[in-house]
Amino acid sequence: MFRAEGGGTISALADAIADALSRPAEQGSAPRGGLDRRRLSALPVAAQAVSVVAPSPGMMNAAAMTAAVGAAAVPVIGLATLAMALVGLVVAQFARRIAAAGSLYTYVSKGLGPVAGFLTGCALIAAYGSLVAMCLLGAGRRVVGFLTAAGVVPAPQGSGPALLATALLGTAMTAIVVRGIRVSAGLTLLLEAASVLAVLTALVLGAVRGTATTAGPSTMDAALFTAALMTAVKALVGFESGCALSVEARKPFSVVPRVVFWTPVGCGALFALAALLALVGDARPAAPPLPFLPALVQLGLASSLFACAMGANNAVVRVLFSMGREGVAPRALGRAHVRYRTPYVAAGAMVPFAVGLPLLLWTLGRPSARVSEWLGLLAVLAFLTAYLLVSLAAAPFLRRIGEHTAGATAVAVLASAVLAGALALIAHASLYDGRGGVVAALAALLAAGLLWLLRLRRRTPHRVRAIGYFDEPTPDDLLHPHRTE
Amino acid sequence: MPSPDDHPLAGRQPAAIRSALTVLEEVARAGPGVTARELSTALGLSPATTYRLVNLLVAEEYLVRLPDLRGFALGRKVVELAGAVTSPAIPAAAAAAVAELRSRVRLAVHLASLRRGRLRMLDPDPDHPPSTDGVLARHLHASALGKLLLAEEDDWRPLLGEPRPLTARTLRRPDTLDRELETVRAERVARQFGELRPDRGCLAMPVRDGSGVLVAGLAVSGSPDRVAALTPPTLRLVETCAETLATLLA
Repeated sequence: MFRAEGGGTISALADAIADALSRPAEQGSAPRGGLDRRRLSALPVAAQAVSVVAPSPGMMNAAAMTAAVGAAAVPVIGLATLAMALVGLVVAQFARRIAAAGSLYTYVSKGLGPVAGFLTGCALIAAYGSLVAMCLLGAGRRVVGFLTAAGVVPAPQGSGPALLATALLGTAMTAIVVRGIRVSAGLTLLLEAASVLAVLTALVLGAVRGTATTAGPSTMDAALFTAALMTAVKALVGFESGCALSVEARKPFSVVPRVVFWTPVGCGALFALAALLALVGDARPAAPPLPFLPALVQLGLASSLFACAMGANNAVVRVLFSMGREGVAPRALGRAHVRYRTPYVAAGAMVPFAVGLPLLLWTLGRPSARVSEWLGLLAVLAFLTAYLLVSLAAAPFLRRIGEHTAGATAVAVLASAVLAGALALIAHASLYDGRGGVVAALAALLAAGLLWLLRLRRRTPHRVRAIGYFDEPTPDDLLHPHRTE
Repeated sequence: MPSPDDHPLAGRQPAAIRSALTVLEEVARAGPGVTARELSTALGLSPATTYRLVNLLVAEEYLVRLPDLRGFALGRKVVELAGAVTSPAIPAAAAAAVAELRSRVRLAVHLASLRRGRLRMLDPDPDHPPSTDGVLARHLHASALGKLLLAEEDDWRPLLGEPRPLTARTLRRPDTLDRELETVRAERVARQFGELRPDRGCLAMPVRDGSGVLVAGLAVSGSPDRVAALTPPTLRLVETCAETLATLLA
């Protein structure tokens, strides 16, 4: 069917191809957006998504969960994985059709309109922003912990050294993020792989030799179930961050949907494995602890947390970048570095969270552990809010482009229901254990975002209508660019 | 709903491949902007199957989703598909004539069809492959074969558009290109020296049928210095071969 000459069958396809071959040169337009378009291979995109989930700390938490709920940890992890896989399927519906650095922010604006889109963007900024700060604080603590466990430095007094380490890590992270997505994604891949290997080694050794802890009884009540489910969900959020690289990814419509579905499934499986290993280890008589194990775990966690901070920062600067390009946030945020093709102004805007916060805590003399806990809760609530909005947006979006099916709608409705339930459960629990301030903070943040947008809409309605900027095909992607104008 | 991991185009499902090709064919027929729903109606496939197929074809970049997110167009990659499939056969005698020339000049020898204002390789030198058809077709001003094609036209602009610079020596000014094509018409030979690739030069002669219509181009290619230093006896060999081909390809 492809023979154009000499053969008898001239098909429309063959004609189109022959026509394209004889067509004059098109002036290729400059890559839109100024990002390093379509150059990143699949593995770094997967590493980005996995790093924001941060499997190593999640595995440690899954192992620790067995102390509280025993063997029930495994089905709880399974349930959380199922819920996040549902969200992954919903997000994949968008990722298969739109390549946008703004990820869920852009997706929701295409389904529910600019206001809901902007709210999603605010939720994502809150989620990634608090993740950046929290992971850097954690990484700083772990670096000092590693140096102590390895006997390099004596156990420090107070949290000063850890906060200083955090500020240094924050500076390094910002520099790497500006340097280029291929560098930062490559480093993320390396750190994440090393960290999972380190933690898995520690857990396997614990299982083989026995641990000093004992598994809790397999009992369950509502409060325990909520707490366990929250831990598991907390460990899994962040997998959608692969979408932020969809402009930079090669073959984004093939790679990104797979990444957002398989990341929560794969990480959930790792967590279940970690819980099982912990159960096996707990059942055995405790052997004397290996001397190098604590240092190994600390190092693994430090590198995973640093990678998580970098991944979250990569994602948040791209949301800010998209907002800047559209003019709904300061225009400067939408500027890309001429040489490195990264949103360097947006990366600069994140410095107060990455470097400023630890320095502030240091000057105030506050310990960082409590702050980390708040940031963690804020991140989970914000992620679930963004997931809920994207699930609600899926069916309207598919209907708008005329590609809705009963199956896709059912998955989106189910995901929305599950997320609304999880969000209510976690917010309710937080209100009752004295962390209602965090819920209020997120609500205030979203309300402030909404007010800002409404004000903007009154003054410059065209900017608000511009929300939803995505990577459009260039003439080079098309066979007949001149006919599609 | 398709899960991201299923592979509907597995070897066991020839029907899916046929459907995918039918979708490509229908997009080509309907033209850019055709929606998934329209494809589903036109092909009698179920909507869910159609969406899965178009999204797979988009994922593999054979189709491109247009900025309105509803419509589709053929992707550039379709040309690669064609490149693998179309290798037009030429008469054995013509192939023998080209092979004979290859053995006598120590340069790459290519034969390309220039029918109907379109450049397509008929017999590229297997040892020294030329630039791909797509590159040659898009930059007719930079290759000797392309210049033969442009010299046939009164106005080269509809065929070429804006001449894009590929190397420092590419002719990019319209008036220089006009003068160059004038020379090609006068000498009945086209040349290029490092205009497509810095390390490659080329000389091409037209092959015309009995009524003088341009049907093909015969090109010899090597380093720019060697092409510039071609001796009259060598040029006569190329010319003789082009005359032989004129009767064989007409």
